[in-house]
Amino acid sequence: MVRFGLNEVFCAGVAMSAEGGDGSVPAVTEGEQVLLGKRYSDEESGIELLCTKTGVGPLSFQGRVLGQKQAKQLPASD
Amino acid sequence: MNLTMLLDMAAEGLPDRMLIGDVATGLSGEQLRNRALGGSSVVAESGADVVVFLGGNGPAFPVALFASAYAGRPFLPVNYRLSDEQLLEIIARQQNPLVITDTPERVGDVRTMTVEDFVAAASAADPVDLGLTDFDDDAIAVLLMTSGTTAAPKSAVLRHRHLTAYILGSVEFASAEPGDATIVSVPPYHIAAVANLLSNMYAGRRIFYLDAFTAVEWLNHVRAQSITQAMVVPTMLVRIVEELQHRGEDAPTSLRSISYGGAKISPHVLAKALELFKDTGFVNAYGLTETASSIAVLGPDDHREAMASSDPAVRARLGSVGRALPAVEIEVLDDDGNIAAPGVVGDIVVRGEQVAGEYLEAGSGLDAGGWFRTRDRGYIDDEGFIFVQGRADDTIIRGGENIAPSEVEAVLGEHESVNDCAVAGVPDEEWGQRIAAFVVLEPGAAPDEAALRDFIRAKLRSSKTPDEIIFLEELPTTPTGKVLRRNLVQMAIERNFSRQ
Repeated sequence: MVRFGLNEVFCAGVAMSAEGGDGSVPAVTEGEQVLLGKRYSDEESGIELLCTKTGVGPLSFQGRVLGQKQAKQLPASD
Repeated sequence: MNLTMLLDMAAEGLPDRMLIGDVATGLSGEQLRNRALGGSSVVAESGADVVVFLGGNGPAFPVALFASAYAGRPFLPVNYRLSDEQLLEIIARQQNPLVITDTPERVGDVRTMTVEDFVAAASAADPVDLGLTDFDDDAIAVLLMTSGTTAAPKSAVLRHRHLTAYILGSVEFASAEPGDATIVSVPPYHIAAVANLLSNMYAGRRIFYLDAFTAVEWLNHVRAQSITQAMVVPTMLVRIVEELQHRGEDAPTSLRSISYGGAKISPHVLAKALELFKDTGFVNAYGLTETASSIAVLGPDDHREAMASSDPAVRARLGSVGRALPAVEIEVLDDDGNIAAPGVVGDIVVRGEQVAGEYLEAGSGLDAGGWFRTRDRGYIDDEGFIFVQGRADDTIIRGGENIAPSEVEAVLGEHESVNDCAVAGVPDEEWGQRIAAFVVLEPGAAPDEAALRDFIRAKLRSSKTPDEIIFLEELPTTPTGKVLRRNLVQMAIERNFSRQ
């Protein structure tokens, strides 16, 4: 498990907050999208984020931009 | 993370993808979300604290489950086949329930709605988010009654974090192809039905519910609905294989994958199924209610490799439940509580974020390290394949010797005249327990007790040879195919009593 502070995860240059947040929106409106349902990870720390709402990125952690993680397919067991 | 976020994602990312029911007239992700939001108003306005669902499989099940989640209430699907007495006892345990049922006369003096009325009210209500989902992910999402094969049923607790951990740990969002569909006949009160709903919805795979399973209906719908995936319990696979053989027909080619689990499968049946469904990948899933579904999987490649191998150790993997999923750890503990060496039989334990291991009546069953005892006995081979031998409670102790019923069953099942079998310990004055074998013969085979005993004695030792063999038309099972050993034991006791 990785623990991190509130001012370490950024999306499009704006610090991300706990669920709900204060409703502030990023100043950036153009750029690469963070895609719904995709996982983004930082190898150095092992942090992994799941995008639950599409929007402009990029995601970053402690100043490093997170890359989209390759999906590992497991056989459908149910 | 909670269950409503999974549906929100599906509705937003795949708004037009048909997710529930018929390919033309079913519910899309967006429609399912709207019904569930409407249903959450119905639940909230009822003032109930828990939603009990006493219906069969069908679109009402996902609507009611997600309506409960959006309303922040636990969802408890209950077996409608229970006796009136058992059902009343379970309903009486609920604080302030809303019971969705077509047989309100069976549930006593509580608030009820018929399945049809609930769905109609959910469809008519405004699909607005009531803002009731601001609960902690530690809130209870689903309650499931344990099957109670050995004791009175308990309420297994699955919190939002357990179910979402299972989904995020094993499914990629929107990973299904647009035309993919799965057929499901497992009843809503089974963990497999709950996990199946969440994982297929999240993957974007349409679920077609067949409520009353028959092999004929199943095969008809697989063809008509171009089904690509199926989940069955072993009893269903037996029937499907028999029906195909009876018809002399080829297996439906649309099926890319069949997953089976929930009970032990006869090696004969599995081999026949693999032969008939040539182009279908088979998946054996092992999981418990308390672990929010699957914790180990034997995948299609494992099946093929085992079938093709001449190495007995690799071939034996057809009888294994595969390897642990990446999101959980599984170990076997020996009799001293230490991690057992490969191949050594002991208690199977598991830990991971999806592992709940908790009952309303008994609290958490996790130890200080987060491990949960499955109460299954088994071993892990040197490549990580897990072999489940059966419930710890089913272990036969005959004259001080511990005997796993599965060991005797595996040998007995190899005999050409045996179609299906179960072995159980029956109380015995001399031995403490004696070994009774219950055998369903292949059609046309003659019941020859001595021949079967000789067959087992030649492969195991005499202390593991059944003391008696009882021939039956079929084995008594739960609706999901688990053999009811206590019924068998009772049968053996009564048989001997009437002989004396």
